[in-house]
Amino acid sequence: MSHFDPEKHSCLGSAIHSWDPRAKIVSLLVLIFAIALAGSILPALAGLCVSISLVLISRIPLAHVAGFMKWPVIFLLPLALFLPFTTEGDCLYSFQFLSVSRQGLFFSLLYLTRGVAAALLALLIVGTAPFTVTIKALQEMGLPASLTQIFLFAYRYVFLLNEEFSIMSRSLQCKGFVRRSDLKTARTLAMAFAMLLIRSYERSLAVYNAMLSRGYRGDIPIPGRNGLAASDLFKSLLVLGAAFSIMAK
Amino acid sequence: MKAIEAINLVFSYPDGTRALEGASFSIDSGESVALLGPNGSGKSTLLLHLNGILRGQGTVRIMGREITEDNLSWVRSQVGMVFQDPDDQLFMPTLEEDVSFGPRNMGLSEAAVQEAVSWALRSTGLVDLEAKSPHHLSFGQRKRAAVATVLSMRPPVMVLDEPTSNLDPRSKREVATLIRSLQEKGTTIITATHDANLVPYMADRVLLLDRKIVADGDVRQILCRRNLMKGLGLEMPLLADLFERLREEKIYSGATPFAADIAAKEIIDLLK
Repeated sequence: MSHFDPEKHSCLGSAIHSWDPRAKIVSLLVLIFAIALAGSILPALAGLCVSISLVLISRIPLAHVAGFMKWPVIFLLPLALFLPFTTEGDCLYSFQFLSVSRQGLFFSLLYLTRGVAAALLALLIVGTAPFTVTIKALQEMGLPASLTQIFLFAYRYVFLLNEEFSIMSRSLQCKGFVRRSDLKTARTLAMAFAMLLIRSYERSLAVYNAMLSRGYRGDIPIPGRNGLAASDLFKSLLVLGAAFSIMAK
Repeated sequence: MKAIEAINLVFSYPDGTRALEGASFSIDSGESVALLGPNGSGKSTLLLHLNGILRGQGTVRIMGREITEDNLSWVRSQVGMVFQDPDDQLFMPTLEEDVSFGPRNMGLSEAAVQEAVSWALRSTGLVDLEAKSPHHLSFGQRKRAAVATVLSMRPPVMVLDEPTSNLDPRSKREVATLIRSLQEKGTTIITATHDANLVPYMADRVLLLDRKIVADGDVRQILCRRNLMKGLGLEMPLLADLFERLREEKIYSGATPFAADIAAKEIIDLLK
């Protein structure tokens, strides 16, 4: 089953990968906020440059980065395309009833730059350490244990549900089902989805039984982690310095 | 000493399906027992009673202690359960975390957890896959991984629900060999299966279940009874079927062989 695996390159040997996950999450989140709060193009572009540099340092293959970035870009592009035409302001160019405003173009570029930079940093958070390491780091930083468990199990079973839905889709096709834009297709897919939910419920009961049988009593014991190394603090200082510089501009 | 004692187990599911109707049996420490029965005969339901996941009417004793609400933690450290579908059992993001889940819940030290994990992975031939996510493993690997998750707890009793279903012949033999090696180390094992051909390789005794125990005896005694097996919709092992037919035709009178090499030797002797 092929699907995008964000942690496919989580075990490379770069400076980002060796960064303590707690320090990395905090530092990169601060940087994301700094970029998201940037009110003008220049600091946003500076944030984008920092993000691209960190991605290059991480040595994650660019094809993988592109695979991840297509989703935020698909989400951001309509906004970036509409804003120049829908924001009131100084007219830069007009054609019949359409006009491009200077302010609209500014906001469009700003949102696109901030969005792409933030998405790149998010990739670094989820893609430079195994998912479980990231989640455990979040728990050590105060994320409630119940949420940690929800994330862990959701991550494990989302692939399984995807696989089961693909099997159901293949089964539908084998029985002559062809996807069209009609009510029959919608009804069939809705029923398949409902069946998937029922199966998920039954699966969750079976998983819970398996957990109980291995001594589960409501929490998942997580082994402790060592303190931060000097190199972790140094990396955090560099990134936080960049974040505060962006905020100061 | 009795490792497992089940007395008059009765269980119905909420939809009214009667799964068990007075099942009683006992298993001595160190025995390897196969639980055979048709679909819907209550095999999985019975196994779920053995570590307190399901609790109907009747009594279950593990190592002489009756299962109660108060000793469930102890019971689950004594009875390791391998589920039929490995995806029910592999719920953590990586194999290493899945295999260490049980030992950590038992409160073992980190060094002991790591030792138990590497032993379980070694025993199931999964050493190099510990960092992999379960969804990146093949079905056969997931089956073995499910066994490893229980092995790491080193329970004195292991309960396996159809551990060989959907496996290729070599993987089936590997599972049977693993069961035998665990038994040799003193583990008590009960294995639910449909695969009568494999039973002689992994068990010494057979329980036939059809909501209650309808037959209990050593492998040869049960698997060679055509009417009994047929009556439950089960098949005899291929070689046993052949040699019992020869016996019925008064052509053969020796012990029924279950292994191909012994069967071949008997046939050559018959042909001479």
